[in-house]
Amino acid sequence: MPTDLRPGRLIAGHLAQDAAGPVPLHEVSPDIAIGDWGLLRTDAVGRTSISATVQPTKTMFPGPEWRRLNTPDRSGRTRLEALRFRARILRRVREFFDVRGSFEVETPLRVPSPGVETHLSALRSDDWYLSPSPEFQMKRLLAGGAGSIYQICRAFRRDETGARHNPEFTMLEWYSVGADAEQLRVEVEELIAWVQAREDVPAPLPPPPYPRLTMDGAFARFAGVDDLFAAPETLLAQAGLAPRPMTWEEAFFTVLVEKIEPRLCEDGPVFLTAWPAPMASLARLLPEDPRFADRFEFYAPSPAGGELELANGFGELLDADLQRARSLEDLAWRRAHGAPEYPLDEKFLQALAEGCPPVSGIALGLDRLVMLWWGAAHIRQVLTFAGDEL
Amino acid sequence: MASMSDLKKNLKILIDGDPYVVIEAQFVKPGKGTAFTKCRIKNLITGSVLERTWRSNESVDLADTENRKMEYLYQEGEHFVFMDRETYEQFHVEAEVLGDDTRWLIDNLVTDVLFFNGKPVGVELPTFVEMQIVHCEPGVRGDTATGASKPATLITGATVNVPLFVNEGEWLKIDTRTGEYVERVKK
Repeated sequence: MPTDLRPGRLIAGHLAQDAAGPVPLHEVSPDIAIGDWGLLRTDAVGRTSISATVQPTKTMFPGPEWRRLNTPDRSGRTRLEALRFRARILRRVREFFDVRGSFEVETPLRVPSPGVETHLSALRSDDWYLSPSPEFQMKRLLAGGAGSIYQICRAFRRDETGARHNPEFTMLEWYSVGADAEQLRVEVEELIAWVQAREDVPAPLPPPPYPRLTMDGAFARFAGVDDLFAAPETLLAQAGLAPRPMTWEEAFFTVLVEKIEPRLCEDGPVFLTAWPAPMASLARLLPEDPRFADRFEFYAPSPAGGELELANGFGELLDADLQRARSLEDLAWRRAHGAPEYPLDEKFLQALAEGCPPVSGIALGLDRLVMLWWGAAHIRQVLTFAGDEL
Repeated sequence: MASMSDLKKNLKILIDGDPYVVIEAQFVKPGKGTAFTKCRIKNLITGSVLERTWRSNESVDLADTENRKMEYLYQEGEHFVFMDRETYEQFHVEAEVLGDDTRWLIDNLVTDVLFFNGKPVGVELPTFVEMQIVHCEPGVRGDTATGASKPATLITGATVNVPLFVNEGEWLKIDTRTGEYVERVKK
């Protein structure tokens, strides 16, 4: 039983570890009975003793909470070890941004508008919402002259539960003023290299750089689709999928999830760039081909096999009129599909009208990055409490 | 009908007329887009495993399946007769449903019978059965180490390879998944 036996520690009076293995504490010190807490001391010549008991309650040891955190999983490691690892990663991530002069901000988690993205389902909080992304408030800070900023916060998304999803998760979002999307991709690589160079990471990613692949190129390479804007039945047929009645957007995501994503990380991490414009209403359109938006996703091989989607970045759309028009399109889609209609965030649109510096921004799922580095197949292994443990 | 949020491990669903069980269901939402449930499903009759992906707005039919604890009674021509241990109802199971497993059917063996649309379509035997040897060459005392083996014929006519020290009339524990000898048992 790995009781922490550093001097000065409070320990529960069941078992202590000595060189020969576990010893009941009441045998080490007659003052301690089973269920007591004691304070461990080491004297000048290195002899260990245990003080009189100072317990408020007798402990049930090992109780369910203790077992939840201290029982090794299939990889032989405990939840507590994963949480300590997570804390070290968080500190390194903050250090990475602090050293570059980006500063940490905290925006409210309860907001009047969760945004109107098409597939987003927000959690209500009275008349407001729990924020699914700190994007609007962070862009308001940019309009106010904050410069490059980052945030580590909770984000909330309804109905998203699974091995890689928890309805409440930790997001690292940052904005680099003056950077384009390619510079942001380099920053992702630098962040990974920074942490991997400084922390003992059980399952490191291969050293950067990582390839960039356009969505168009990925459809051609992995699905044999030559025009991803073709009719839905053409997309499915070219990708070798059974015909099913669906919209173009559904066909696009079906090919993505069935044919592209499973093979995307065959050679390691990859940036998937240039998403179709309808899938990125907060990103600017690519000047060279406005059918595509300046959006990218960063994928890495998952410890459970396949790929893990880690981050979503934009060359940000900063034109207030265009942003309003594209948000209204999203809202019309929501109405047509019976999805709840959320209000537009007028203060965010006002901030864009006021003027934001050219900026690129990205949201990275920190739980997933910790999962990946820890080699965890399920997100719960790196959370203090998953939803079903509350 | 089940919606995608009900699609979880162990759900029995109907695809192209066959019953399947969900072995693994994973929620995915690529690129903040449409939500999908990626599943590995097993055909309950043939045992074959395949992968299927459903969009969150699709639905899937549920399979009318039921598992019942049933006792094997006797063979009647091409059929094997099983009895429900609770209701005493009897069912005739076709030989082809059982396949090779008929060789482990001893009287009163308790099995899990899968019913699909009210018909028995699968019989799951216990992992281990105990059977008596009706014929084998005489035992060689003390030979427990060489790993040599000899065939033994069991009470149902099945043949298994056994170590040389095993004798006629003894009882054996057999693994029904592999058809291999596990150990001798005292009766």
